[in-house]
Order: sequence, then structure tokens, then C-alpha cells
Amino acid sequence: MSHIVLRDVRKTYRMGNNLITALDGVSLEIEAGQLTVVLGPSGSGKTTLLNLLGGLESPDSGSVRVGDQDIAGLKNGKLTAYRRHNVGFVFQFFNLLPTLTALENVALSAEMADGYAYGRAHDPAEMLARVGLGDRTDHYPGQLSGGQQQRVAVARALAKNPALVLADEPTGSLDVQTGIDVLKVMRALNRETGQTFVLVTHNSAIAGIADRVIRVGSGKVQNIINNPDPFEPDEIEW
Amino acid sequence: MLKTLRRKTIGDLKANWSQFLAVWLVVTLGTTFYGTMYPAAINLLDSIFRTYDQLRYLDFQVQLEPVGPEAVEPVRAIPGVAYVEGRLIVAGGWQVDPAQQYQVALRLISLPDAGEPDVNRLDITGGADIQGPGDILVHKTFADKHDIEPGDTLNVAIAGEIVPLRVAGLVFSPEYIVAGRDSNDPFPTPTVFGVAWMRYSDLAVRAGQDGRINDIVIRLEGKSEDNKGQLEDDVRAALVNLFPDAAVFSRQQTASGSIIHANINGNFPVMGFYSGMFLIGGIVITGILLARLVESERQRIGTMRAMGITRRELVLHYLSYGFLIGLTGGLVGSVLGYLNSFWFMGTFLTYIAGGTLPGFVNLPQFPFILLGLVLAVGGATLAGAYPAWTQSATPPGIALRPAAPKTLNAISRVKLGFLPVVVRQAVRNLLRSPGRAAGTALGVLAGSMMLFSALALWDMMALNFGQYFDSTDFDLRVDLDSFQSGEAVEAQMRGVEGVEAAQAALIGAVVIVNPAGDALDTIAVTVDETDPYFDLVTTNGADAFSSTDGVWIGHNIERVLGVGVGDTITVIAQGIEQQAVIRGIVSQVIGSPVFVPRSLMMEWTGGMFPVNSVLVRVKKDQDAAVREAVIGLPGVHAVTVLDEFDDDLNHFLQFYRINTLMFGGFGLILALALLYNTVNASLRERRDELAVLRALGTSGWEIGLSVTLEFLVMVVIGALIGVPLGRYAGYFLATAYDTDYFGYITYLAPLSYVVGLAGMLLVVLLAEIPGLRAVHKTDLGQVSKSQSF
Repeated sequence: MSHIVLRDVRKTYRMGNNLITALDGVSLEIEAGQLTVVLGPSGSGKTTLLNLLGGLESPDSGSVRVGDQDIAGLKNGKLTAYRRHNVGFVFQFFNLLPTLTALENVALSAEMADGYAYGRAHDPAEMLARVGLGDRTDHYPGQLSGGQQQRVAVARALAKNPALVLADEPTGSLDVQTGIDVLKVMRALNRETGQTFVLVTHNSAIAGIADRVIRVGSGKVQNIINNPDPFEPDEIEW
Repeated sequence: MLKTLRRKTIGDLKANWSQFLAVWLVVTLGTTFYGTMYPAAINLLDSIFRTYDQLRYLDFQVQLEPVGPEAVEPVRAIPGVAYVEGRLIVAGGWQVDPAQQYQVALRLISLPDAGEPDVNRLDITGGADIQGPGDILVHKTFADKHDIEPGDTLNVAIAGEIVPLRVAGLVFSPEYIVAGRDSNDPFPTPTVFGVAWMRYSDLAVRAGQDGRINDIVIRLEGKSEDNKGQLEDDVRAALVNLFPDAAVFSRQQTASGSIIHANINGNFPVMGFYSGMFLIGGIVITGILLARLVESERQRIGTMRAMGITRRELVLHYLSYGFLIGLTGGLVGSVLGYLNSFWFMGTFLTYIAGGTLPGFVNLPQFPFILLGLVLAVGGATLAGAYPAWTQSATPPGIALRPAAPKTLNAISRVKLGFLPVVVRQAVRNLLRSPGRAAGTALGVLAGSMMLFSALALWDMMALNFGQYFDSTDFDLRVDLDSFQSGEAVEAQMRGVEGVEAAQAALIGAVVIVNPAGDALDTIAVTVDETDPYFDLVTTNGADAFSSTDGVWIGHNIERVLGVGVGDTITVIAQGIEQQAVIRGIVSQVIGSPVFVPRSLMMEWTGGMFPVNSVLVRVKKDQDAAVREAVIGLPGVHAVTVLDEFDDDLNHFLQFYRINTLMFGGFGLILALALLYNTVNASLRERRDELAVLRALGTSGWEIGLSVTLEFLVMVVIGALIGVPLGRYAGYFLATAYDTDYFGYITYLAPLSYVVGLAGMLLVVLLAEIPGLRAVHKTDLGQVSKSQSF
């Protein structure tokens, strides 16, 4: 069953006098419960695609259907509610709130969504334990390594038990082994919870772990490959 | 608000405590100064009015030739008159040292033989009431100056006889809160002038005036705070009708009343201005600083918005900063402001009122305090909420990316390659964030306005009183008890051991009438124009005494009568009218004198030059000896040592100096707090950016120079507008103190421009130090690994 369906989505940005086309008539489907990787070089439009899926931005035209809801035309308040109850984000640069501890960063997400999300929110401490940071609950982001921060970000994204987890270059600022550790966590949680994961990356090595790979370039979908036998993150070589 | 966001608020406050403390201090200082100034003025006015009412201070005073006590009866019949008191006032002297003849002028005022007077009652602050003949009550300020205590005996000259009088008690009088001699000489000079009270029979007999009075004081119905405009007009008309040859003074025309009135008139706008400026300034600064803080949270806001936090939740979160700062700062500031108002009022008590005011009251002005608190809390809350609301409007997808330049395309793309890199960087930063630059310039504008308005007040006081003190080029003023020949008295004075030179002068009361018929009671001073013992500063027209065909007027006459150089005025003295052309305006902050060349006076008098004063120059350290010798000369009524007079006046002026210093000091603190915070916030915002520059090889010196240039541009823009505005605000405030006999020439010294601007620049440089040090300490390795977030 398709969880996400995009039809003829266009998105442009105005930079001074120039009009930049980020997405140019993109149509695609993403299956529920799958881990999908959106692959493409810098400037290909993959982050814009992720932002549209997550309701961070709205398309100029076309439809973005997530579940039974077309979020393309939603107003700001509805988009906020959509993100709050349906989407968990993992960013390349973690974007943890520096004045909250690891536990509080995760708790913020759980607290927001509790009672409304896909299922009941998870216990923040339990989520931290599941990403291997049960002993780092009271640490502030500044006291954690990059990999640890990204695992906190993953725990934060999943704590509210969203139907959709979106990750923008989640390993982009991590070393290989730490990146693999983070991907292992995400893959395991994807299998365990059945939530839909969409990872955006320029690193083709990561594509091997995905159930489906969508390759984008110049604002268009170039191809979509189903991968019935994905690698485990441990098996990645890059 | 989400519970965890509340924790974030606390966490943010802890993490950025120095930034928030700085903002808190601004709010607290703003509220403190707001709560000090205007409420103190209200309480001061209330204290004075309570004192007036408690002690039944006069509304009118009639000075007349001695008449029988029945003269008061028709006054009682005037509608609206509540109390009337007939008094005898005798000019006496206190022989300070029995071995010497020198006397301090002592004005003796009669009290009823039994009970309290109906008007101008006394408050006994030490000792007891008069017990019998030979007892006097002495004005406390005068007694304090001369260490006179109850029980002491003073040798007092009354009608030429020295009599020992026992000091029964020390008193406060509403008539002499400011113990000046008269409206032309209104400032207290306790060194040379004092007041004492005796029972009528005792004084009248000793003065040879038994059964006579020469002064009537009247109190109208109602309270001092009431507006009695029409009633006062009616009573004045009735009094003038009853006593056509007498001098009728309203409360505001008496020596003390005029100064107090000028204070009240002056204090309210000044205090109101500063109260408003400090509070509004505090709120504006808070707004600018919180906007900076929130702006620096752009990517965090983007993250939270991406997580699904609503705009309302975000605004609630960020307004909680402002609310906490506003509430705590407002509360602390309100309490401190109230406590500080005691200190402010204390300076009035000490330097103006001689240490006591029976009706003193300093009640918390709750409506005013509450208004300040509401404005502080509301202002600070909005200051946090508004930028959060606008920031949260940015789509999170955009907010998560580094901010793009906000300037117009053409401006942001101006080619600057011809500039050195440090200058280019500074200009780019200004163009990149014009809102931030404008906010900083606005803050500098507010700060410089406060600073320069205070500097202007200070300079005006320094200039006007400096010129006043410097305008007398003699050491002693000798007053004679009758008109004498100028040449004879000059010769007489020159014969005294220690006298260097002497110049006869005619100093007396005149009425000046302008071409429109408006009149002003004042004094005229006539001296030899070929070598005047006055070193007058001419502000307009010909140099003082440079010709003999006209007069020079003090600048207050110019303002009060609306006359100028070339105008013809009428000078009336002892019923004789003379026309005179105004040749120049001279600086005279106190009084409204008209200076007449001796030659012109002799034209008017048909060749005579009768004098009643001699201006004496004394050899070094001979003041006391000459005074003692001169006082013994026949026909000498009083001797004033100018240095002593100046000391007294300087003591009185301390109140204004302290106030001006306080205004300037507080304005400076706020201006500096703003500059410091602005610089700090700006550097904090760009800490990583600057660290990246360092990582790229830019030297610390180049970064410092670039940052300094950037701030200098903003300081220049703010100061260009703020300095003239501050100067004119100071001028405007100075005019609030204007009376017929007092007024400042507006002025801001060139040195003040230099010092004020240098101070502002110094603070900018000092404020850069912590920020630049933090940049210097940044781990460049970490910078290369992380976003600025």
C-alpha cells in the first residue's frame, strides 16, 4: 500500500532576480513501512523533496498525498499539526536544542505528540536506551560526540511514534563507523515499528540498505529501483 | 506551554545568563530611574504643599511704610482671604564676634505677643518657644551655618543699639525654605544673611516702632494645591487698591516662593522627561536585545517548527524570556526606584531646605509604579514575543538554512572590491542585516540623547553660574545707609588698610517697562563705565559699558520682557522715568539687572552721581581685616564678602549639580549598557562566522578592526541624530526652570561633544573585548566540524 504519493510536484525558489527550479514535475510513490532512500547529488532537489514530504514547505503545484491527506494545499496551522502528529525529522547537523539534556530533547518530541500520534509516544528514556544512550540521558548536546548527537536526534524523531520518519543526510556529518551505527539503529527501528522511513543522501553506498531507491537529478526523478534484498548497514562499504 | 519548553527557558537563561542579566539590568535600571524621578517630584510637591498648609504659608505679602495695626482690618474683609497677619520687620545685624564691629545681616520679624501667628507659622525644630522679652527664635539653616544653639546669646543690632538676645529655639519657616533676601537676591546666603523672630512688643519697642507694622501677610481660603487663579487676581487687585504705594508680592514673587516655584515648574518636566526616557529607553533596548537573541535562535526555531511546535507555543516560549525579565526587573526596579527617591528628596532637603521640611512625605506612587511595572512587563514581554512571532513565520524549511541577506538585491550586490577586506567585511555585515544595524543605531540614538541632554544641562549650569561668579571683579560689596557722594566714599575706602581699589556704585530698585507696556520690578546697577568692576559677558550687541548712550540688560529681561538690542525701554526709579536704548545683552543667570553707565545716569540726574554702595578690591588674604575696618566707618550699613556669598550659592547649587550628575550618570549607564549589549549580542551572533574567518587565516587584529568599523558606522549614524536631539532636549528642560529672575543661557560645550562621543566610542571598544576574546578562544577544530547552530 502506498503511504506517500506525489503527483506532478513543482517547487521553485526565487534568488534575487533568478528563479531556481528545485523540483520539476516530480511524481512518485513510497510504500508504507519501507525504508526508502532518495539519492542524488547536491542541488538535485532531494532536500526540497524531503521538506515537501515533511510539510516544511509547500509545493507551487501538484499534490503530496501522505496517507489519506493531501498536504500540498494545507495552510500553516494544518501543516504544523501534520508535522506534530505524523512526522519525525533527523537532520544532517542534528539540530538538538543545546540547552536541553539528551533526555529533555527526546521528551520534548514525545510530550508534543503524546496521545495524538500514530501510536502512543514512547518513553523518552527507553528511546534513548534503544539508541544505545541510556547512560547519557543527562548529558547536554555539547557533551556528546557527533554520532551520539545524531542518535539522540533519531530517538527524538521516533519518540513521538510518528508514521513517517524523514532523515536528511543523517550520516553526512559523521565518520563511517558512526554513520553505520546510526543507520543500524534506524534500520532496526524501521523493522521493529513498521514506520515509513525516508532517507535523503548523496552517498550511493547507503542506497544498498534501502527497500526502495529513488534517484533524483536536476529536479526530476531519474529512476526508482526496488530492492527486495537490502544489505544490512554493517555490510556497507564506502 | 509545553513542559519541556519551560525547561528550555530555564536552560536558556542559565546558558546565556550574562546576556539575559545584561537585559535584566537594563529593564531594572530603566524601571529604577523611572520610579525615582517623577514620583520624587510628586512627593516633593506634596511635601511642600503640606508644609505650606500646615504652617499657613502666605499667598500674598504687602510691604509698606510703617502704619498702624488697624491697616490689616480692610484686608480681612477682602472676599477669599482666610487669614491676615500684620508684622513688623526690622533690618538688624548680628555681631558675630563681640570684639569686632562686623555684623551679619539679621532680619528680625515680629510674632504676636501671644500664641502663634495666623499666617507663616513656625515649626520649632530645636529648643523651645519664646519664654519672654529678650528671647528670639533663629532660622535653623542660619543657626546651623554659624553653630548657634538654643541657649546661646547673640549680640544683635537693632536700631543702632547692640542688645544681647537669648536663642530660645531654632525654627523652620515656610517663608524661608529658601532663605533668600528678596526676589532679586533669592538664593540663600546664610553666611551673611539670617532671619530671627521676636515677640512684637519686644521688637517694636527696641526698634522704636511701637504700634507700627510694615508688613502684611495674607493667606487665602483653600489649600495650596488648589488652582486659585481668579481669586488671586481679585485679591491682588483689592490689595493694590488698598495699598497703592506698597509693594504687593504673590507667593511666587517672594524669594523662597519664587525659587520653590521654579523648582516645581522645572522638576516636573525634567523628572517626567527622564522618567519616560529611562523607561522607554529600557524597553526599546530590551526589545532590540531580545530581538537579537531570538534572531540568533533562527535555526532552533526552524527545528522546533519542523518538529511540529506551533507558532503560539513558540511565541509563548520566547515571550516567557521577556515576561520573566520584565516582571523581575520591573519589581526590583520599582522597589529600588522608591528607595532611591528618598535619596533624591534628601538632596533637596539638604541643599535647598536646610535639612528639614515639616510636611515631608514620600509615599509610594502606586498608580505610577503600577504603570511602570505594566509597561516594563508588557514591553519586555512584547519585546520577546514579537520577534518570535515574526521568526516563526519563516517556513521551517527556510529557517533551517542559514539566513539569506535581507537587503535589496541592488544593495546587497554593491561591488566593494576596491575596499580593503576588513572594511569590505564591515560594510557587508551592515548591508546584510540592515534591520540589526538600524536597531543598533536607534539604541545609540536613544543613549546619546540621554547622555547629551544631561551634558547640556551640566554645561548650562557651569557656563551660567561660571559667568555669574566671574562677573564680579571685586571682593567686598559695601552698602551704605544713605546716598553719598561717589568720590568721597571711594576716597574713604581707599584709605582703609588692605584696600587695593574701590569703586562707587548706585544699586537700587527700578521698574523696567517695555514698549508694549509690560513691567518688571528689578534692580539697576550704575558704575563708572571707564573701569567697571563688573566683568560682564555680552551675549548680544555691543560690549558691556562700551558706550554711554544706552544700557545693558541681563538676559532674563530680554526673555521676560521680549526686548532686544536697539529697543528702547523705560526705566522708572523713585517715580522718575527715563528712556534708555538697549545696547547689549549680558549673561546674568540670577536676577534681571539692568546695567547703566555712570555718564548716562549723570545725564538723567543733572550731573549728580549719588551712590549707595562701594565695590572694593582687597589685597590678598585681607578680606576679614578690611571687612572689620570698613564696617566701622560711618554710614556703612553692611559688608558682603563675595567669596562667602559664592560659597553659600555653591552649596545651594549642589542640589542641581547632583541632579544633573544623576541624570547624566543614569543616562550614561543606560547608553553604555545598550552599547555594551548591542556589541556583545552582535558578536555572539557571529561568533562562529568570525571563528571561521580566523580558521581561514584572518588575523585577530583584522577581525577586531572590521568589527570596530562596523560598530563605528552605527555609532556615527545614531549619534548624528541623537546628539542634536539630546542637546535640544537639554535646552528645553533648562527652560522649565525659567522665572522672571532666573534662567539659563542655552549651551553645550565643545569639550562635552568630545568627551561624550569619546566615552561612547570607548565603551564600544571595551564591549568588543569579551566577544572578540570568545572568538579567539573558539576551538577552530570544532568550527570546521559543526554548523553555527
